[in-house]
Amino acid sequence: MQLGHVAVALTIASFAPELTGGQVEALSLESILVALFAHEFPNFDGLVIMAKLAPKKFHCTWSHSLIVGFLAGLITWFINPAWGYIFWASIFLHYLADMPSSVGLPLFMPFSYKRYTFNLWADTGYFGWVSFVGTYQQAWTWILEGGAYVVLMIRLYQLKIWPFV
Amino acid sequence: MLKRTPLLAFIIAGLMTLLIALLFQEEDRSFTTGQTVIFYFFSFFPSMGIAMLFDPFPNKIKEMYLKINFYIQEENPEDQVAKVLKEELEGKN
Repeated sequence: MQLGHVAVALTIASFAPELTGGQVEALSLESILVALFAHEFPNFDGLVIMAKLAPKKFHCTWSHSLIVGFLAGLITWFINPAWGYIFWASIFLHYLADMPSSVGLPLFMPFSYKRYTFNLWADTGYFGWVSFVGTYQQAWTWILEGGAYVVLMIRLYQLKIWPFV
Repeated sequence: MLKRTPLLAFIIAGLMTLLIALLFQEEDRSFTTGQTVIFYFFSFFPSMGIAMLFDPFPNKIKEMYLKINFYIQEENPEDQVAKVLKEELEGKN
């Protein structure tokens, strides 16, 4: 998933009161920043690769394992428990959103290196024009990523947020 | 891509907008025309995906990309795609 991650993160931010027991408002700047950061966190491995600090095959490995997601959320939880709940929801939904890709996610690293995938679309790499074009030439990316934006619009309507005031 | 695919998507988007209205529209807050247009606009994207399921081209693209390993350090993604495309064209001729 590429562009759809933004919609998923914003949808999670729209559920901030439910996730935090009312401590953070829906789609407040705080909820949006935490959800966007946490949701994109696993893809920061692409930056590490681009900085030539890791080989290409580093993508979708440690950053996409459940234990790393749990630990990153735990650190955030110690800083601010409300942020921790949003972080966990965001990062685990990132994994779910990436699972339709054929690359597969090693969810149980370092205990198992088996990759799990729904195999709905072919992986097209981690960055660049080829990756972008290839992703959106396949049917299921449109269905799921477009669907994520539809869900976000429904949430905006339910929360009476512009343009659904 | 087949010419009928975007047309089919326009029709599915209409049906999806109708479904959204039926499921989520609140009795005292009917969608305005502008809001309906927004839902129709955003419904077009997943509808395009549904329409693409009935088109052989996206499946061929998926098959092509499945042949490529984008994580080989020395390889360039553009070159890898060009190579597979060339091989497919040669296979056809």
